[in-house]
Amino acid sequence: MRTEIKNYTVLALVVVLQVIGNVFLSRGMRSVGSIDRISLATVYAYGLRTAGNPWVLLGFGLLVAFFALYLAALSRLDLSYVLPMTASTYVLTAFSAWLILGESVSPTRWAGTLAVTIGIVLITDSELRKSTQLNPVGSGGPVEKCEDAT
Amino acid sequence: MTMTWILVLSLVTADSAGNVLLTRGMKQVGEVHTLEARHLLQIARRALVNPWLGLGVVCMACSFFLFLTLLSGRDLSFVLPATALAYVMSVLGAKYILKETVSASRWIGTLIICAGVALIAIK
Repeated sequence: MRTEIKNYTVLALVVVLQVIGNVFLSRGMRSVGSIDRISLATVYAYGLRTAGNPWVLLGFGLLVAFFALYLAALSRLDLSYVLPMTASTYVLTAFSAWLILGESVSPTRWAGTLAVTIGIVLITDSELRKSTQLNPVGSGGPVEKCEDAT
Repeated sequence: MTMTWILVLSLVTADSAGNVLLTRGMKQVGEVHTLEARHLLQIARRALVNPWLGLGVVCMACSFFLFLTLLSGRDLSFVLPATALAYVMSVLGAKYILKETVSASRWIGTLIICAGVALIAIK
């Protein structure tokens, strides 16, 4: 039970770090701007400008933390537990983009975001069913794999 | 607009390949079950020399730079859901590369994601 709470906490943290990290990156890249001409010199200057932007660096730091936790979660839990949590990031990101970045999210875009989330839940749910059919032991929650084996 | 979709498709390809490689690599490296420094160091050493993990990280880095490029010109609420096409990619990969049988609900989920991305692309 305690490991279950711990696993869910890690998964929630994975989601939050990813959403906020992406919001910061978006804010940073907006001020860096688009690249207008592709040559070695412009790409180099653009890279320097991107790497020197504090919002990009902050977002990158959060995503590194996300990535480390994600790797730990992947090694510890089945992908079928990690992936449904990541489905929630789409709606949460659209919400944060609207609230924090002031993006105008049209009803069509909300509908699209919701459809993407539903699609992901359907896919991961069918995968989960397949894996519990193959291995019915420990299908009640995010059980650690070593427990599945015993 | 064409450029945006070329970038999205490249990102999705790199991301899907990265996920497969990372999963494979981490399964070989082993579980992270404690936060004890010596244990973490051991895992880190094994992770650093694992070729699958290395390739996976390269793929992820590519997809990250493509993501940044997309974000410089487009809204986050467009770019992020567009990357969900990675799920479509992995279904196609499962069907045509790994020759797995893909369940009906997985196909339906894939179609719904495609519809969602189409809606996001409208505006």
